[in-house]
Amino acid sequence: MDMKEFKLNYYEKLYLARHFEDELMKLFADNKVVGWIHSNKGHEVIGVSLALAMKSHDYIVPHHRDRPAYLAKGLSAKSLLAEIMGKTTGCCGGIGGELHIMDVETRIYGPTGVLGSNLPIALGIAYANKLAGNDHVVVCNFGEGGSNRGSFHEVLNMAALWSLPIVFVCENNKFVEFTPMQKHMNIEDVARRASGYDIEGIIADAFNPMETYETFKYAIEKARRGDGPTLVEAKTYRLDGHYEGDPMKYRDEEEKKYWLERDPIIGFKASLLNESIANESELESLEASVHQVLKEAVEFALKSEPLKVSDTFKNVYA
Amino acid sequence: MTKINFRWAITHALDEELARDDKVFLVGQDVGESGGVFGLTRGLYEKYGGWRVKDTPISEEGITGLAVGAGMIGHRPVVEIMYMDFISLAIEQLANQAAKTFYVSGGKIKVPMVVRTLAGGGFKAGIHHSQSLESWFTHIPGLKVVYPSTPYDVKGLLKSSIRDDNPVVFIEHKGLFSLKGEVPDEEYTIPLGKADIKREGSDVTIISYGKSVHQSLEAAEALAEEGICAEVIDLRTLVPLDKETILKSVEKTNRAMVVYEATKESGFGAEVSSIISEELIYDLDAPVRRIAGAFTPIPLGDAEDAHFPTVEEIIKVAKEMCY
Ligand SMILES: Cc1ncc(C[n+]2csc(CCOP(=O)(O)OP(=O)(O)O)c2C)c(N)n1
Repeated sequence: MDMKEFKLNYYEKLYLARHFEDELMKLFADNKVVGWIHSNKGHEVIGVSLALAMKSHDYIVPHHRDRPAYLAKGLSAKSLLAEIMGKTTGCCGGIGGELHIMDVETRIYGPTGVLGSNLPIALGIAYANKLAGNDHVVVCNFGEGGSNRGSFHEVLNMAALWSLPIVFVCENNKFVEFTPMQKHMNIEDVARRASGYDIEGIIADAFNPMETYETFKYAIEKARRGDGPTLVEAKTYRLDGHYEGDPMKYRDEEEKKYWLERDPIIGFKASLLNESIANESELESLEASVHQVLKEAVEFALKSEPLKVSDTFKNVYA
Repeated sequence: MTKINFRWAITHALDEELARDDKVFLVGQDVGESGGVFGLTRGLYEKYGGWRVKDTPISEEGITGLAVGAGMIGHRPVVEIMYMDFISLAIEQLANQAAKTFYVSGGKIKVPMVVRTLAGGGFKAGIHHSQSLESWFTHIPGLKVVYPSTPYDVKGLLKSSIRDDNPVVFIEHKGLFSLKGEVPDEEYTIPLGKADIKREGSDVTIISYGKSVHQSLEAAEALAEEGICAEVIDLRTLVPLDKETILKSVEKTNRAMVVYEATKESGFGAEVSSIISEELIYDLDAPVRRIAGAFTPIPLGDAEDAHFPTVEEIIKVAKEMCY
């Protein structure tokens, strides 16, 4: 893939992630979504760049704001949206919902309802891959809040000890639900915790698409070579509330303004134009095709069958 | 047939499954080079190497979750939680992750894995090395719970548990480790969900599992001398539960008691007792009785003997029910 193709693909995936959220919020306001939704605006660069840096056989064990990664890794907008709406055509047959997206084909594993519980699962997938002797890498995401779980310590210790093929990605969006992170931890940089396990800890600016991509690429290829785990802290900012409907009384509006002005999706688009990688009409048609995909996904999900009560008695045991 | 003790039956089951399927691997503290705190994995590290017989740090949640993840992609991990008392740390991975993954993935992602754990009294070591916590897990849809009582059963059930496509909590009573019993020389397995009638009788059904099975058998022996013919059912698997065997027996005897070591209150006996009441209340000649651990933490030293059910208690209650 040449640079133009790569960047256009990158932009398309960012744009899809952002607008998928818009569609979702509209559906949520319309009472068409079961459960909650946790917006990932501000997190798009992380998920998209991870997916671009991964191979299709690599695994992601995500946290609850990783829809951009699901979409960029190849889960269809139809399947994802239908799942969030509790429809049988969703990737888990409509029983999973927003917090429990799994998909064998695109290798998305592990429910995300209990924060930090995905780390041991990611460890196990990496362990199994090491045992099998293949070169598959596991990417495991969590928030700075989740990194306060005991599981974080147990898992980073073992992953380091056994030099497992895994990349830990802390998506630091500065908030833990309704509380600024400073009230939960003394350190500002979660990446510093890596030194406790004698592994590399790297900070990436998740409002800078190319920097974040390069960082993930480095960490993933290092894991693939057998050189062990890395903790990447992707610094971002949660542009929306904790979940849809959060009145955000705790938010500093100046701070939000600062981050909004640096919105990476707008910035990336501007750089594509400035660097003459694409012209306005190319980008417009790319954006139009994304909207078409989303329109079809919404129609598909709306007309799909909701999960039947009788289905909920299935699959308790394999 | 060869006579071996309970402990070696476990080792042989692990050895045979490691040899049979390269997806099987063991993790736990000291399971590797040192062969395990109770010697249960002796020789396996040398035979299968450090990756398939993995010594781990003190990270009960971490290693249980490791098994969940490995199971999700088709491996068959076996975790050892050294004392069941420590399984509190692994509950999140068992109850919220392992148990629910197949369900929440719409039946697409299985989690074959076994957590072997050592339960029960006998060491007189008090609050943190003596508990039987099976009912924490029998309450969770998606988990299977196995609690064997003989060398023959432990071997056959452990092999089936490792081959099962669901997460299994496999409970080994420490007080049984030196118990000897006949085990076939050839390969065999025992299906999960089948109880075993360890002694036939017609007057009262004693339903039990784990070490309490042996006390129940001893009591039945003594009761026979006094003209009471007790039937002893060893549940072997608590989930799935072999209701049919329980109900068939109680239909015959019209009397039932449940004997187990765990705290009586909200213990598994309450479940068994309820099932019998729901199905057979009008056939009963006496209320269903439970003989189980006292509602206190497990005391240190010889006081433990009074905490757990005793043979004398079983005899006494059986007589009350039959006269
Ligand atoms: C173990 C656990 N505790 C609490 C919660 C409730 N909860 C959901 S999201 C959230 C905040 C998480 O913060 P962070 O890990 O930083 O991720 P973010 O939501 O900021 O992306 C909390 C406390 C939970 N889901 N799981």
